[in-house]
Amino acid sequence: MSIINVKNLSKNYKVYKKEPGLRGSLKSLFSRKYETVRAVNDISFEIEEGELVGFIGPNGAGKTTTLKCLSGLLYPSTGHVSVLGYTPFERNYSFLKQISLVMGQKNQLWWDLPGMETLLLHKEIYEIPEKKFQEMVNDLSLILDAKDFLTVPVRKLSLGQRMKMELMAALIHSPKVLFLDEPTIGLDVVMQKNLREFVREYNIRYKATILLTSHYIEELCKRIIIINHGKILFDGLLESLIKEHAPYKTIGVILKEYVNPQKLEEFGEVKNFEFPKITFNVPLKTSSKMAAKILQKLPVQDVTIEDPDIEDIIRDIFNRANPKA
Amino acid sequence: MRYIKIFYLTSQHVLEYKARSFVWFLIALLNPLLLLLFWRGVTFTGTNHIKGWNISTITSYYLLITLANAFLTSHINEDIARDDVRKGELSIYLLKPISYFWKKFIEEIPYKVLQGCFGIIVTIILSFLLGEFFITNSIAIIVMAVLISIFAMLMSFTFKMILGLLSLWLIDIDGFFQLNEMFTLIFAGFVIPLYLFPPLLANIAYVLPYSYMIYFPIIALQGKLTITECLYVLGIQGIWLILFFYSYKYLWINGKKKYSGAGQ
Amino acid sequence: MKRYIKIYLQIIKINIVKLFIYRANFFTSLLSSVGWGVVGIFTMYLLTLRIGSAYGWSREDLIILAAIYPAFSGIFYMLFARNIGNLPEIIHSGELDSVLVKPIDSQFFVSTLSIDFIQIFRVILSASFIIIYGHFVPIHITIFSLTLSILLCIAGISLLYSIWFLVMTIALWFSTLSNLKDLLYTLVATMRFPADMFYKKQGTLFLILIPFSLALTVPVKVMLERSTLLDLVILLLISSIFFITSRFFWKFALRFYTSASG
Repeated sequence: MSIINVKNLSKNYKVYKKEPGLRGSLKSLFSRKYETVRAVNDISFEIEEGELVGFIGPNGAGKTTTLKCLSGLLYPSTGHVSVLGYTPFERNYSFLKQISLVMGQKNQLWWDLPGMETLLLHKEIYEIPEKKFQEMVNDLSLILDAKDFLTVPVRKLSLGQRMKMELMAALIHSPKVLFLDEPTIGLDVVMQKNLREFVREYNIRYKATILLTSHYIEELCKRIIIINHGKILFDGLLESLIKEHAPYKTIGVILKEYVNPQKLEEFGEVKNFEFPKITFNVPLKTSSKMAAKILQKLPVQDVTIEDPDIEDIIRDIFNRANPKA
Repeated sequence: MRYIKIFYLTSQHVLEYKARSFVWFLIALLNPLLLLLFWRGVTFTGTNHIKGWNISTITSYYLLITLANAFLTSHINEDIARDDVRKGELSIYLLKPISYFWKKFIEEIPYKVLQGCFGIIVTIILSFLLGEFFITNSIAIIVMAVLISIFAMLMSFTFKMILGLLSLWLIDIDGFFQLNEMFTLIFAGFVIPLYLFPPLLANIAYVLPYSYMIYFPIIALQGKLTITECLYVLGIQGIWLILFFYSYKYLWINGKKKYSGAGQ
Repeated sequence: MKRYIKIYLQIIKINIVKLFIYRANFFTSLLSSVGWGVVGIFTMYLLTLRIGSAYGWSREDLIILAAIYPAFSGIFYMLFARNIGNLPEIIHSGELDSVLVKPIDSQFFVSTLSIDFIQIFRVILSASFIIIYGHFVPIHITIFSLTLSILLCIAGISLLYSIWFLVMTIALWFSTLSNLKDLLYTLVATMRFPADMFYKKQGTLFLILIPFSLALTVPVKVMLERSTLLDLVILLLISSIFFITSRFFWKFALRFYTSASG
């Protein structure tokens, strides 16, 4: 029995339309036009215990809506959702005690107080036994390196420290399922790295099932689900994504002397030509042979061989699903 | 021309928020109405009747308070403190070739018109229901009363502009505004007319500007002032207006410096 | 439930800590809350200067009512007013999400989150005034009447709470009416006057205010040993009805929120 089970989930919203200007204001007194937006359109997927899954899509794709349906914050329009065997929107307290939702940079800590006070409040709300509470406080502050600022008022902490404190508050009750909505938004590179390491650690250590949303690829997640316009475009392992949709390598070359672009076509698809830098896309199977050929035949100063830019892959998938007119 | 544009835009905005404006009106209406109701159930002690304070004058007094509240009061100080100073929207004004004072004044007008409409409608309805409404029938006095009202409105607005600007200096301006509201409530005659005050309190009231913003227009309209007394009131209002005007100017000049210096 | 008591104790602790941190606002909040209390009592003093009685209430009783009002409203303001007034803010900012995701009753949590301890000074004001006034004017209170009236105050405050909560919940649908909160504060201020004012025909405009008024009028009447059994029954009945209604409406609003929000 999978921990998270979603079948034919759809969620629609009514959006009211109003014309601008004085006329529009007066008109809207009498009649209101509205249209139905399909935020989530008949999606299905299953997640097993301990999986770390990334829900990827651009803004408005339906990621946050799905997450809210899974955590009980939204009532599905149609379809069936089950998490830990519960129906989320029934908001059963035994269910809520086992999950946690972290929404971007929205904070739930009391601003002027030391984070510890919020943790104590959560202790009472989630009915965490004293011993277990102390254990979690110690463990988490160790992993997050947060021991020093538990007793400092939150507003005096740096952004990074605040993020750590937020995570502690969200996880102090050792939830079995963790939902993270755009967790890396607004964080600098170092903080993002710390966050990823922490999530990975938490996933391994506590065998928690983690579902996070983002609008770019998280290398953190082995399995990703790509969603756009409320529909799932891909659901599988990250490596399968690359193999399926972009089975090539990118070879970057810096030339010592100018070479006619037409002559370069035998080495592979020229993705970018900005002398002296040239980028090729070369099929996966022949990439090493081709690289050798390039080094042999071209006046090469420097060469790099990389996996394709995942962002490009994603963009491709989006464009293929919705070819622009 | 641009002032007319401002008026038009604000009017549009006000129409959107007419329900909200009505709630403000209800809030202001509640107290006078309650006091009116209170007086109707009062029994006076023995023969201690108060001269000129009977059902008729009581009713018209509190109805006029409602009108005065709609036309003659201003809450611009709160807008200034919250939006212009704290949120920094003052910068926008400083960049425009428009008088801050008059822009704010023009922006107030649609709200006053709307509140005034509510006030007039409710006053008419209530005076029908209650069966009485008493104002003087002397044309001369009415003209005087209108003049006094105009001065009162200018006083009120300028005073609130001054208070608003003070938020550039006072850290806790909210407490100060609250204190001002408390004084206004009592000394502008919102509770009972000043001629019912004990002597000491009445003297204090005549020295403070509040009564000249609300109270005197009302009793002038009720015909309780002679022409001479009306002129006297106008004179005092004039003095207050000059005082306010120069205070505002002073605060504005120094305020601009302080505001820009703070580097918003 | 014991759990909720523990949670509330932690909330109290958190708010006490906050009180010491926000020292800057302390004196002005104090000025505001005590100042308006004084204004309320002073207003009644002015009103009743030359009168004998109104609606069956003697001048002294009217002043006592106006003097107890700061304490009564103070307790309500201390425990609930800020929280309920913030309801639209909590909902539109999405903070409600983090409440709904926790295993706690959402109505309880949003109602109790912050405690405004400064309002306690209104209670001190009321108590001091009554004690001093009692030296000049004979006030007849017995232990029994005092105890009973305190119990009825609880019913009265619960009535205030329910009406506020109901109004602010309904206000969620009318986001332009952000000043409903101010209207509620003004309505509370009408409790300085005895509910008897609204019983006569001319008071029918104020039918809506009667529940409000009873919240304080009944306990005070009980304290002064002037009430009838009917008064008590009506207050207790109305309290319960409004409480149940507020709860029902909140659940209804939540259903609306959870199927319509983004």
